[in-house]
Amino acid sequence: MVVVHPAGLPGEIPGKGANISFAAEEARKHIIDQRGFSYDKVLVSAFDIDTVVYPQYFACLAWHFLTCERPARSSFQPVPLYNNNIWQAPMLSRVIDYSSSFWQMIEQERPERVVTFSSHAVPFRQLYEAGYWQRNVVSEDSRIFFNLFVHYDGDYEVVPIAYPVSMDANAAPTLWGTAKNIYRQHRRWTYGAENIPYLLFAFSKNPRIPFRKKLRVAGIQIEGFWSAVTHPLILAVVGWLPLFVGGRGFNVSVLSYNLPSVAQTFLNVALLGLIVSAYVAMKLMPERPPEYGRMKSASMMLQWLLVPFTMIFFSAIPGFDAQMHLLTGRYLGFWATPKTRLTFSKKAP
Amino acid sequence: MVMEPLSKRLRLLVFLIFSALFVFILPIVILYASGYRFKSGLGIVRTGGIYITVPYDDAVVKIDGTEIGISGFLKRNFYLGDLTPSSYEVSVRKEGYYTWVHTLVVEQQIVSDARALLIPEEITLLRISSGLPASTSTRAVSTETWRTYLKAFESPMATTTTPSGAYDLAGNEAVFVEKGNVYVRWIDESASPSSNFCSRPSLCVRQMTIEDGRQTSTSAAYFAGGVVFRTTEGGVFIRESSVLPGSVLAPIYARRGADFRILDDGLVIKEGNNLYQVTGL
Repeated sequence: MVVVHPAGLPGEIPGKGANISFAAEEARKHIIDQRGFSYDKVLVSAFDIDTVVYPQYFACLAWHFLTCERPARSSFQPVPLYNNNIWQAPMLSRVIDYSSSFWQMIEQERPERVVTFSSHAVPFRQLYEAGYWQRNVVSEDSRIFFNLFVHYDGDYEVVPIAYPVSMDANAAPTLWGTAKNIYRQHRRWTYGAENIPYLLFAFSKNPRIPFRKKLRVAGIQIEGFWSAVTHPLILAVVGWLPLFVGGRGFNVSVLSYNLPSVAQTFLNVALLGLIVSAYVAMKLMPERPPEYGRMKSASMMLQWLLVPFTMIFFSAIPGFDAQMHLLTGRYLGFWATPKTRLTFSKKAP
Repeated sequence: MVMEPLSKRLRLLVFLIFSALFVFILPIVILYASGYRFKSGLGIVRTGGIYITVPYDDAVVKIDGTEIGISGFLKRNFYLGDLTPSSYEVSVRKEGYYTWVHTLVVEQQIVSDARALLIPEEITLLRISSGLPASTSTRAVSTETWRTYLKAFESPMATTTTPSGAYDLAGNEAVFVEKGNVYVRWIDESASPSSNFCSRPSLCVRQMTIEDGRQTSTSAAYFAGGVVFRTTEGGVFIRESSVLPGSVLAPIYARRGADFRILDDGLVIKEGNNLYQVTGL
């Protein structure tokens, strides 16, 4: 079934949330109800336009749905990889998108922190009862979890399914265009801080959610968005900023002279994580297309040297930008990341 | 095989291990970074350090006779930590220059710093000429430049307007000529003086003497990391702006009546109707 979502419906902002909510309701009317499917036996996968599932995805998802402890109180979250065009994407894009994937993988190991992100699955009855995805927010993917969490008085969770889906890495025709798209995409993601006032307001109105649960969920969100913006900057300046603000009293101390080298030592040890990241990323990547040589594979390893740079310019700063928009009331609309497939031009023999 | 998230027990164990590491390592790192070291026979010692800036290439830096490095384009600063509080002889040696030697006092958890000033053993003067071709001993300038240079010597050397009476400024210090003597003063009342005003880190002054002997100084200015001054009787000299004993003092043009100006970022000497460009400083 193909659904065309008319523009300009009241209470909506143009974006994925409004689109898939409209589509879900159409599917309910024309498929689920007409064929008499039980709402309890329908699971809805919400994908992005570029999401490609691996062969066992639906089997894996169905298995989790059928075997998890509380299927009627659970959404399901796969690991987003950006493998569709990873060999064609520029280095900058690859390292940032794999960083996002790794973050989602880390979150999957801490289920109590997981919220739905990008492509995910929700039981239809719960989705229907919550009123589908919110139509007037940018971060409908995470908001739907909080909608359900509040709707069911805190009795709702996300089940990580530890199985990937693949999407497009950012790849505009020019590097500058790619950088701009990545910046905007990450600003949109970190605009998820818009969930914090929603949560706090909803928690204040819902006494049935246990206070400890409110505290934990709100705390995770607040700490997450705060640290995403501040930690890269702190790590970048911790070694030398005290020298500029410490004054002469500090600057003549042994501590001031040792601080940069001590900070450097710790950061170098932390960089070992990048080696692990590079190894894991290589394992997750699709096979190298024949048109690319070994140098391309080498660049896949070297790209991780960009992480200190990308953490600041494509994580902290867009996050700060997004939060300043929220703080000053200059609300962002949904910005759809342009998806461009760069084709490899191979000369005819 | 179904992948399950890490069990809460395992996560708790990992958390506890890293918390213990943090609690154990953090105090050690803080003490280490603050200069605490174990020295055989002395136990735990609060060490200090020495930091030398060497704005020259190919100079050998030694502390108590032990070479700690050779300066270069990418290596201008030398730091030696873990020093037990004491006095250390620091030398910077470069062929063709007077060796810069000072005794620096290292105190607990403080870094004593200094900036080396190397003066050429033979200062080269190029005679500035107008209308003649340049050679190894002359510098040719246009007639207009020649006149501009001469004119600069006709009026007294300009003093900066603030602070009152200062001949020249360099950051928060200024050089003054008063009653025929030359002084350098720290002029920022709100800030501690920089290390060149300190004979040891905890003993600093706000004024140092560059020249207060029998000769009568008439002008002074900062140049090439030192203070250039002119005396009526002796000519033009350069001295290190430092209170450390044995600070460098060297004649640039030791002729009675010689005068100097800093023109086009260079040091120009005038004697009679002759102008000389000082090179190598």
